Amino acid sequence: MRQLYILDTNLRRNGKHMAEEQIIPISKFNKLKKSTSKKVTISVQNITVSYNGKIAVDNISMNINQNEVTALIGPSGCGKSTFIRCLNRMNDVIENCTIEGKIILNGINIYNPEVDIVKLRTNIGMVFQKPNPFPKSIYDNIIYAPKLHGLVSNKSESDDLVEKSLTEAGLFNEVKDRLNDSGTSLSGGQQQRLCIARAIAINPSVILMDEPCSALDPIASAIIEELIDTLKKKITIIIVTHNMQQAARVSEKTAFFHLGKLIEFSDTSTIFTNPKQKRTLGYITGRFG
Amino acid sequence: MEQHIVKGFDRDLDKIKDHINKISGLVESQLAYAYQSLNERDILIAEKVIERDKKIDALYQELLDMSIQLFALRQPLAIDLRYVISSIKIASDLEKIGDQAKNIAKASRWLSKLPVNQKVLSVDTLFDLVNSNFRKVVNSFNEEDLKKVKAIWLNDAEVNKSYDILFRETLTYMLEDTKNIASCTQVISVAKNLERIGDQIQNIAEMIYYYVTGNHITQKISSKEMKTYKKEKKYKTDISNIFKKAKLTLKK
Repeated sequence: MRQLYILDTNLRRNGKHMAEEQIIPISKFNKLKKSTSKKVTISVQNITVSYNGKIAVDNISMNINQNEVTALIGPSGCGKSTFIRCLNRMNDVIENCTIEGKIILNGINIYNPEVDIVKLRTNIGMVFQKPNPFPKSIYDNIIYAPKLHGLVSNKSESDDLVEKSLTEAGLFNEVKDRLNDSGTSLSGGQQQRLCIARAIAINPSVILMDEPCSALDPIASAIIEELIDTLKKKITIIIVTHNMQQAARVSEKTAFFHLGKLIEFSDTSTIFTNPKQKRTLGYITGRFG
Repeated sequence: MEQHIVKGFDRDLDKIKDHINKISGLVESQLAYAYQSLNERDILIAEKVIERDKKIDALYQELLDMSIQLFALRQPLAIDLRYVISSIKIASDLEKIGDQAKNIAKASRWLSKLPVNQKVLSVDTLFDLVNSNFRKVVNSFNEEDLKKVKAIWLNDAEVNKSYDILFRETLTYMLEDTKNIASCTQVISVAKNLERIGDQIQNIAEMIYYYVTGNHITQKISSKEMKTYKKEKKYKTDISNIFKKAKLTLKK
């Protein structure tokens, strides 16, 4: 009998998309997780999200290329945060939230009932608007999840992973002498980089960033932007931002959302110099809010 | 085009447009005065044209400052970005046209020293063509009429052709009588300046097309139109006959 990952019962609220999916063997899922090839392309197929029957994201389809930064822009309430939260099933915990459609990661629909959400979220990490380090030491912030997932077995491995993750997040030199200090004692920018280090410690293929710089000053934002540029060589990044200059600086592809619909998805250079849709043009040039 | 939510942005863009119109108005009058000084061999008008070119240069510098300020404060994107960049380029071309008008005035200052009875070849046809294209391109900047812009761009072949005809005429005139050489070199200089103005008008047309559509005009001209344009642009009078005739004259 095949061993399966079992699912959150919340997911059964909408059964439409689940019926035709195949059961995924645990071995296959784990293999994908440990894969270093990072052949990740997220294929979003007809995703519709409703809260209490009210559509927030309307029939969106797009392909997200691996090792690229994809920026999601649009006015407040346009559905971009709802959409990004679909990508690692963060919306599953919201009451009366219905999700239709498919999101294919490594050939597997992440909304397949057999997919373990915990495992999924190790593969698709998330960084939020406000830095949210655990009320623990810097060291523990990094090593908490790898320990939980059995990625480290001894102190030496833990030390190496903490150093590697903090270095990749560009934070190690600033905190190497105070790894036992509380994560919350760091500055806002450092806390955000600690959250990124925490996310990359478990070797994700994709990182979702929901306005990661909105609470940071320009210098701390610039450091995060530089970090995004470095990380994209290994990780696919999807970023929601209200700062259009930031979207233009960091991303290869940009998607413009309006009233829950994907209005335009194209190369960032095209979107910001010669968008094809009137609504995109109106938004990026500040002609409507 | 809808207005910006921040009204100050629209005001800044309007200021740039007004400034371009101010420069183009001044350049247009410079061209007219330069032509008048040439026709009437009036040294005073020529001096006036030379002096007034400094004003165009100053206006161009002001436009650069305004654009830099707009970039820093408004961070324009898409059509706004194309508009500001194109405006800088258009202003630069207008400033160059101003310089060409100054050069024409300098040539006319030289020609005005010639004896009154010495005939000087007329550049009327070439001037009228260039002047008409200039007015059209200035209007197109305000009207954003792409059909007109395309027609102006293609019409540069006519300017080149007209220059070539004038060049041939001047050459014949010089070969007829060596006394004409001095005045003819000045006429060629004027004609060359007018031909260069034609090129700058073509550049302005390109920039208008680019900021309105986001596309380059050369990519949007049909292959048939382009073929005709290139053929006309490459038009060169066979001047060997002129030299053959001249040789015969010398032998005689």
